[in-house]
Amino acid sequence: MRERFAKNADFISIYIREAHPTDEWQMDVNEEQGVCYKQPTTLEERLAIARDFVSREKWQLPLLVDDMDNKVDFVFGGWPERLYVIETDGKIAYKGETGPFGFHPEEVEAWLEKKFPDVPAASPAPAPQR
Amino acid sequence: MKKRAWILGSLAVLLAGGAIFVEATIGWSMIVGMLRYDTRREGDLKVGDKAPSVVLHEIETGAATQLFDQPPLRPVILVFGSFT
Repeated sequence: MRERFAKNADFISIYIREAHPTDEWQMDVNEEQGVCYKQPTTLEERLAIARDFVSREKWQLPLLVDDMDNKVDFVFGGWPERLYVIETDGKIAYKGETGPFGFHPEEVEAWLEKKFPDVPAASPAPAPQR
Repeated sequence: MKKRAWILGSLAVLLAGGAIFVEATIGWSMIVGMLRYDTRREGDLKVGDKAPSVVLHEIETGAATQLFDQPPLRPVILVFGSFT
């Protein structure tokens, strides 16, 4: 989606409080994948985990990190994950539900398609080789 | 007396069945985690509100940077989340 609308919109990720740190609500899947971090208590710790995330996941979007007062997270209700679209008038055009169940990138893509109807459709994924 | 025992027995079976169902589907650790640590909230904003000017940190340097201190030149898609 980012590649498709790269000329039309900016994508920014905001790194917030850990959703499933080892000292709180750890998930089995995180343990299996070696994604085991305590809830950071300093900005340096949060930055370090964010850097690990970018490196390990090869994350392509620009990423900014919330302060330890979690102010941005609280104002936007970002935890554990959520999507927004901010229009050029500075107003919120789309607010997704909280993730993981309410996290729907396809709704953002639909908004972008409506806003930029001339952008060609994404090319279909190549068929698997036999 | 017999009726009371039958009701209590049925309740016990229902509770045990429920407990097994929860463990098999969601898992008790998930329930406990959700009750203790689920801090989902709606936030203060809704569609049509002006996005507030906020201060965030650059990932490499930690330097403070401001977002939405003025309207963006292009629509901005914000993706909130964390590693875990």
